Amino acid sequence: MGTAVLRLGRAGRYWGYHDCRFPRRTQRTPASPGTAVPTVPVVVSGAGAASATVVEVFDRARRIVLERVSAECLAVGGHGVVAAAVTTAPLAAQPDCLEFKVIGTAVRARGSRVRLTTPFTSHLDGHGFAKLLAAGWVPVELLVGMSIGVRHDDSFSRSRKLSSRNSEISGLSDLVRAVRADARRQLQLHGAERGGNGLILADGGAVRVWKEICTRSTGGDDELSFHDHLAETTLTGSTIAQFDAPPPKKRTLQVLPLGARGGEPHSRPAAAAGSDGQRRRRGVQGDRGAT
Amino acid sequence: MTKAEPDGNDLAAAAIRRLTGLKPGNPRAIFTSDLSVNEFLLVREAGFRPIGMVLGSSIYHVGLQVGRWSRNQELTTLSQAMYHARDLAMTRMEAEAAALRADGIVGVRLTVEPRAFGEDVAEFLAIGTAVKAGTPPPGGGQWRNSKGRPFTSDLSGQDFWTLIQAGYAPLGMVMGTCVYHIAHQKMSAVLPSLGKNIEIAQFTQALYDARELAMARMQAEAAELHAEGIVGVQLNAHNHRWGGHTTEFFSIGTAIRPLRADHHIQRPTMVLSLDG
Repeated sequence: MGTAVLRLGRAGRYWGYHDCRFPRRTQRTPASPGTAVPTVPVVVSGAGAASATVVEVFDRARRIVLERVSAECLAVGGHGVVAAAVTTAPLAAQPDCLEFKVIGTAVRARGSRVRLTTPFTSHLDGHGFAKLLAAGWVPVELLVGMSIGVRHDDSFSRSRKLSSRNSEISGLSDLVRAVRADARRQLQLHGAERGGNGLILADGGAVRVWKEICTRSTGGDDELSFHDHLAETTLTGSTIAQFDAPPPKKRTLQVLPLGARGGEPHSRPAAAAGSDGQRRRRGVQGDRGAT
Repeated sequence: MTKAEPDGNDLAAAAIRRLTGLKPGNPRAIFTSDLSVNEFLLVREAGFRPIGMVLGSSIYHVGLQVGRWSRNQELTTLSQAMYHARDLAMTRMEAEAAALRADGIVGVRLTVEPRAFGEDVAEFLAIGTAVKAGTPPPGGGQWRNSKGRPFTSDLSGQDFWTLIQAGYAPLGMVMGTCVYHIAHQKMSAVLPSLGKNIEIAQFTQALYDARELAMARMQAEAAELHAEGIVGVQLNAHNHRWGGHTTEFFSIGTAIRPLRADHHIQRPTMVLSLDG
């Protein structure tokens, strides 16, 4: 187990992470049809936005905690940690302090006398770990990729919202897309620090979106346009590396369960109105592919 | 499970050796995957290599349309919105996969989530894992579908593996949607049937029509891909925020084509599961 409590310093009134970089005092384009779309930047933490400091704190916390977990694992002679769960929770006594906690089980490799300087860490449970290992893959490091993005709520996106016609709100689509892409990129960057061949995600990474008052707004008649849209997402996963497994690899044993349709009750994601949690059950039950 | 392996010790030793030899790598060389471990291994065994998690999303404002109180009718504006937004998300996901030069996308999830941006605003999201095949399909040709785009499939890794084993390949996800307003019953129709068990033909007819429309649209999409059939079809009713009488009927499945003439899979073995 490793834990660390960090205080998130506030810069200014808000947490200082939503500077939208919307050019101040530009002529706000009137929301009449035919006007050119003003280019409103989407700023994400991975590209040096003000929110980068917050994301950096989270990343620092992850590193500190993983270091402690690793030290504890090495102290008991382990080679790695499986079923590591990351939790982040504000401290009840002081809400501006966050506790980062990783709890997992240290495991030792039989038949290896090599002492690792850094043990592997992974969110995978025993089943997953064993299957991976038997197929010639070893987990490397537990990763957390986070991104916060900000986009100014310009009149363009607003006028669309009020109409009764169908339309995509492209500004918001851009924001959410940028945040997701940034979080993925962060994961890959972190993963490359220690190396590996691939990355298995723990959860799909729900995106949280909300609105804040724009810190760049100077007041005025048009109150609605003084908002920023913010989006935040966190992805958790583990990097894995392929090694030359001693042959012969086992073939997958085919089992057709004669249970509910498809063998996996409630197994397929609803095509719509789904939630991120729904998907976790895929592959958990009805292990047609167990080695 | 490793316990059952006679070479469990060698395996662990080899894994540790690999860990000692790790070097910082190129972030682009690391694939990301949205698959569970089971799915990942099965997709590998089916001969595909995951190359990256891909996604497409569209935040969409769904327009307004109100159905006539006493008429069964499709609300075309809403149908169009639901289809167009999903189509945008899927197309963007496919574009990401095409940029990775993938052959296909497996384990696609298509979700609709209401967003805090406004009343009628929802995010339509498609997420999957782009895969590349090690070898071209048996019998020649390519894995991409008849439109030259990466195939998409909402089948789980397990189902995907079974499909490939049996000599079928996915072509693409096909969908059809229909938002339908079901008429309210007229007072004159309600009164005579008070307290009786009867079928309300009007409602039955409405549900039939709506489902048929959704299914027919899905089938038309599959025909366009020259598919042999559609597997894993789900026909769901979603009542988003439109009140009791307006419902979306949404059907989605994976269109498939045969890879070879014979389709046999191993005889199933009976297994008695010992867990609850």
